[in-house]
Amino acid sequence: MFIENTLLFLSSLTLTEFISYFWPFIFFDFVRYVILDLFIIFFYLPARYFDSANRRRAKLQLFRQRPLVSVIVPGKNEGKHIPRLAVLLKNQTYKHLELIIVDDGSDDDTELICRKLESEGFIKKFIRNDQRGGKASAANTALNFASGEFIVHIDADSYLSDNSIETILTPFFLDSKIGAVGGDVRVANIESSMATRLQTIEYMKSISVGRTIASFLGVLRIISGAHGAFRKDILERLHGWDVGPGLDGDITLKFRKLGYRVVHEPDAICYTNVPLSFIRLAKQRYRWDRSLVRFRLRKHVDMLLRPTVYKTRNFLTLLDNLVFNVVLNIKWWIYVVQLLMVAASTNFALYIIVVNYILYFSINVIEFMVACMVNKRTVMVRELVLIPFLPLMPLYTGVFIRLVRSYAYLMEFIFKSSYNDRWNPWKVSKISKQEKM
Amino acid sequence: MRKAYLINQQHNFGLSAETVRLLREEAIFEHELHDIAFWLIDASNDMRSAYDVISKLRNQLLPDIYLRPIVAIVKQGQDRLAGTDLLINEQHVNDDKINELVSRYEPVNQWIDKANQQSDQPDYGYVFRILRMIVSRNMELAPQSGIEKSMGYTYPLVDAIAGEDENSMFHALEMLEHQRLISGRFVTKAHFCAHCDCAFMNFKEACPQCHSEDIDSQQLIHHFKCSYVGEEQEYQKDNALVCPKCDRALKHIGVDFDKPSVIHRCNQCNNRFQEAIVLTECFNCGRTSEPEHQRKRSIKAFKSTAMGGNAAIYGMDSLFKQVMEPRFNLFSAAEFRNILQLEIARIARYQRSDSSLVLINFDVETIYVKFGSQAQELFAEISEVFNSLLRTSDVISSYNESLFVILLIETSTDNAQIALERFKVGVNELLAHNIGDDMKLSSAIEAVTFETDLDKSVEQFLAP
Repeated sequence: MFIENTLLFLSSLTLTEFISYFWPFIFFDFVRYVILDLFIIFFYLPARYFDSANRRRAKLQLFRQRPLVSVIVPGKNEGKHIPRLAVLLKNQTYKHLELIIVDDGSDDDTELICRKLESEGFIKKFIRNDQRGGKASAANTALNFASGEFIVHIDADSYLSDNSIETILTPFFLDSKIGAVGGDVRVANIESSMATRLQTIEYMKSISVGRTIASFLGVLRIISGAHGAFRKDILERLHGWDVGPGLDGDITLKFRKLGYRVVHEPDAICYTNVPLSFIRLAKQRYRWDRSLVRFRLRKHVDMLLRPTVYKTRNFLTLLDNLVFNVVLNIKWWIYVVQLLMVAASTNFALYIIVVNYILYFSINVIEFMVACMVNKRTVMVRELVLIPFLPLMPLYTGVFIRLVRSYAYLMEFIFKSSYNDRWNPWKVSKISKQEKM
Repeated sequence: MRKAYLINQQHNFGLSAETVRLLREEAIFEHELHDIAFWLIDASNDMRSAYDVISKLRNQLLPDIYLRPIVAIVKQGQDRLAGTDLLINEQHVNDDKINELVSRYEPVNQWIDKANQQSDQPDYGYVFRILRMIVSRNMELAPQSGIEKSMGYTYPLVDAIAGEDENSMFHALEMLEHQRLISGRFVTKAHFCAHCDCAFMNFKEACPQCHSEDIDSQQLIHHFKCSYVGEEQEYQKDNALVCPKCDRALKHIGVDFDKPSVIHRCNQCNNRFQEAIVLTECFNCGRTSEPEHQRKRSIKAFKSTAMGGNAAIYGMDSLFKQVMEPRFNLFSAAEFRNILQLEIARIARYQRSDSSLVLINFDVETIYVKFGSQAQELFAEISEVFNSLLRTSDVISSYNESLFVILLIETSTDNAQIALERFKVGVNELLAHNIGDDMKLSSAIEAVTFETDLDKSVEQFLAP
């Protein structure tokens, strides 16, 4: 009965009416997702296939030159994860590594654990800062002590697959203009809760597919701190990371500003633990989303305003970022208002919602399939069993994430609330605020 | 009435002849020794020669000499002189004081008399003499820290009794404690060089990579504004601190920058590190080692036990004997004599069997003093070697601390010689492995005949 009515409603629409009711999907989401997915299937995957000989040569080059790679792990109270991490690094297919741990003012037994590992040779260098300075300063401390040609930045609680380091380094030997490579971040604790399952699907879509295509088009704007490789000479030119939150995105843009290519490597896999509850997830996203305003719109707005100085692609990178986050968010609210008005004057708002749901659900199904195609062999049963959860995704991305994001932008635009975040020590936030950074 | 004997002095500090007698060092042995209350030694002018005299007295073997209390007369402010029982200020030397001391030391002297009644033989054993010193004083032997001895601690009263080397004292005390003849009370702990037991060590910080001591320290600076972290010298620019990343001058620590940690840099290998390793260099042997490889000892104060009191009067059972006892069913001396008599009679009667008497003398004390409390393990191993020598029909007994007598029944002297050689090789291998062959092991074999006399044989055997 309801389905009949919905179909009836759809068939009664003229083209203009259809567009006026479903414009966000037609002009934004359909274009962004479906077109890009087609792009992946018809351009990226064939290109990658034909590129495989080059990649093999690059890998050979890597093992011939055997550069020293410094794996840096800055963090606070991460001691419990370090022994496992040290073992994982020993198991890497690429062996010329040094592990550098920076303890950013931990108040647990991190120092004890790491000093022991250091004396046993599992850690090359353990630097303990008694006073917490924040993530960026800890990463910079590690950089100061690293002696490798390449820096691989990972989170203490992430799991690297055995060939991860080898794979993330390969692109550097494909193109000398590549300055940084992002690894594919996947969810480790898939089965833990509904929130982690939905995040898994989201990561597959946004990281495995989203970043791969962004990288292919040359508009990649972030290399995640959980797993990223950098050329050390460039990092040193930049004197390392700036104050966070959002330092990953910030350093990526700085690499781009210097004219280096930044790429995503979907085969360099790193598993990470994601927030278990929706509340914690909301807090995490609140922090991440505010950094977009702070860094894209405040700090690096020159990339938009002076596109000739920084290349067109950099301009596009930022534009893409802004359009598909900020503008889409505004569009979303406009659409919500429109729906409310429709609901007030007519009785088919519900039909519109249902049709939208079906449309977005279909997109999610297509995206998931494409993600599996990009990840190829590395997709396992544990990811495939998530298919029954796909119907929840329109609600997750379409409502939950949107709400958090809108709130974050609002708070940051009006109150600059990221400067009060406890993520950084207060002393650092105070200076950042004074300096209007 | 006992008297104080003032050694090697012309004048007598104005003391009356009733209380004090003058005696030349050389004349000690000619003198009647029983009325000595204590030795009085003038150390107010020449400490060194006073110590020489003290050391000579303490290293005599007669209890009447070495056990007597020693009182030294010293200058104001002087409070240490090894080997003495008491130091008195030269200004306080008078007849009353001497009389008071005579009565104070009366219990000690009575103890010496009691010991003499038991036996008036010299005390050859170093460890035994130390035990007697402790027991006769009936007070706690307390350690004293100082730089005179390489072990950093001395026990002044017994210190003048010379052992094999400087550390003999510690080992002897350890051994006595192990045998429960004295009991220790924990005073402190000390670290010693693992190679030479010296307590004096230089603690040095060194690079964990190349062990060089040539290291400098630098503060790390974190500039809040740009998150840059680097060593202080990277920031140094014309007497000011300027951030190398953002070129801003640093203003106030805690406001726009801080110093989160200290970093060491090795000037030899350029290694940078936070935790320097600690190395210790021994002032005595010059060897370098890590602190965890040092020898750690409890320094104790010692008091005699009831068992020790008994042993000091009647003689000490050797530790070796204690180890041997449960393994070999050691016969007592009297039993051994009886069995030997029977064997002598049997051989004289039938005239057709050979038995041998074997005497084995160990310099057991060398082992005690070298190994301290670990000696027991070595003794246990030696007793295993004994096992190879003995059959169940053989009879073994310990004649004294270090002399073992064995009766090998139905064994010709030739066969006994073969067994003894095998035994000697076994023991020597063991000792060479453990202490490098400087333990004396002597032995003798004789056939048992109607003329055999155990005491005579022993006397012959021990004669130099």
